[in-house]
Amino acid sequence: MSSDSPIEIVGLRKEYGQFVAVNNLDFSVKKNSFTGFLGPNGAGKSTTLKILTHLINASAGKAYLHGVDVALDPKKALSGVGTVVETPEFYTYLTPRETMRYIGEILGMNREAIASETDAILEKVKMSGWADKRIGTFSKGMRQRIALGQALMNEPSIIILDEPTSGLDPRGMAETREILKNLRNGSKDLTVVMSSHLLHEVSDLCDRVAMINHGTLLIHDETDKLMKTGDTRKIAAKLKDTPTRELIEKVSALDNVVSAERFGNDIEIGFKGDMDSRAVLFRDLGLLNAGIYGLSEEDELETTYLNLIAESR
Amino acid sequence: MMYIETDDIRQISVIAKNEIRKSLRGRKFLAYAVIIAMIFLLITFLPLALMDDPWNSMTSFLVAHFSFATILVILAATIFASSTYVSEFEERTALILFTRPVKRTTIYLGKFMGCFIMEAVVFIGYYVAVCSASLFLNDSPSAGQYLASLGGILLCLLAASALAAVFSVIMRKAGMAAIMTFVTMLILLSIVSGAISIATHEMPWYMLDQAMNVAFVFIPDVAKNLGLGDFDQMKGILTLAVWGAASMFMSWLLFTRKEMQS
Repeated sequence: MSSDSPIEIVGLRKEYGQFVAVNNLDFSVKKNSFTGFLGPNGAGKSTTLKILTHLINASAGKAYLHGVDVALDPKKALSGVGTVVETPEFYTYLTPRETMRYIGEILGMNREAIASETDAILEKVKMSGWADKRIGTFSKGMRQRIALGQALMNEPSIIILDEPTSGLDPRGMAETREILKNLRNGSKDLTVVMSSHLLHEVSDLCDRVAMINHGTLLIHDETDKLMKTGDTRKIAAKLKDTPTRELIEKVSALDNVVSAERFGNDIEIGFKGDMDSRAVLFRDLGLLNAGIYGLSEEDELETTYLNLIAESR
Repeated sequence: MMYIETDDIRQISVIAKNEIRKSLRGRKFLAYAVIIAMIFLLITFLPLALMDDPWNSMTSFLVAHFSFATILVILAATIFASSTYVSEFEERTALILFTRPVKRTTIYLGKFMGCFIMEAVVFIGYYVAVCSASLFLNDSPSAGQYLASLGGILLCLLAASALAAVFSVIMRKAGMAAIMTFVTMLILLSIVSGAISIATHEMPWYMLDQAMNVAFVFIPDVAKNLGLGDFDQMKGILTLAVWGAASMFMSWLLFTRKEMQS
């Protein structure tokens, strides 16, 4: 196993009767990366992460954490690994502080280390104010923050997150994302794999992306590179009034514009070019004095994702 | 992986401690303790209120109390052991515990030990109460006989809890596991034993419900009064041990292979 890949999956397969959830998946995660694991519902993301965390067994193939086969020695493989799989439930009779203590004791931490880490983590996940209240009364968002918190106990070098913002309200999603961003920016020796079907979340948080469909890996590369593989980009210019034919022709004639079409009060612009030429386009659109009050751009990762998913059907 | 290391023993105690905390903070323990206390108070004091000198002999006092012991064992296994494993899956707390560096065997043993300790504590309390009350009567059995009887009851508790653990691992809902445990131990085993005894003209000593009589036979007068004068203590102990070990092995095997589905 490569020391540069703390997570390695080799020929992984999981069958449920006739249904193949993961199909000969090969995939390795680069050390210290924040890797997004993208795919539509039923693509095999959760199944793969459940095999990695020893919640289910593979039908064939191997999953390694720190070079240790998860199926053969789960205790050793999961040492130094923090996990949040789906939306976990907690022992409702425990408080967040007691939950952290329980996890810390299982991990073999001493009392002082548990106490000091618990305080720091609860502060990090903004749950200090509820540290001694029973979890049974908490909202889903609060429980998810506790879930992230317990995953951080004993400073893991790998964190596996399965749709960490799933089922949360917009505020809960934003709070969870902020915690993950702080995690990404604050730790040097940390490898994170995060499954999601929210593209903007992955493009916002992850420096690498692996896309999966029908249990098979479609692509795995740096997020920046994947975001540049899309060919023509779509930009919507929002206008106060209905655009005239003359205006549409003027937009079509601008540099790097491939097409321009009217949609209600918007003009949908097909565009090919890099960031500099995009800046020029935005300047030129402003110079048209057409009453453009907003510009929105289709997510670049979304274009790549949709193309790959369509091809894999 | 059945081998146990030093760190596993530490983890077993951590998990057992949490299981005990769960019982203490939940309503189950309170409910069970209240049931036991009510049974003790009713058996001891209701006859006193209804008749003159009901406890004129030590044997009648102990028979009255011990005749409920088997059903209390079944109740303990139903309330505590039948939910201990299934609840991890049903309540999805397995997603937190099972993804930690801890062997499934460790989790299995820690949870079993935690719920057995809680069951045993209640029973020991019951025995202490019966012993204390018997001090007011003549011809109290010796401390050794009481301890042997308590040992027999704890062995019954272990075997019953192990059988309940099988249902706890097989079932998807804690409620169903509790029903299956209660019905199997109270009704199904008795029906099977009854059928066998009709067919063979002798009581099947190898059945769990029959072996549970071992709790009564260490006090000779009680055994005679319950018609268990010929009961072979050693056979009873071995039968309980075999039922306990086989059930524990089966539930352990199933638990270590059970997958966490969505």
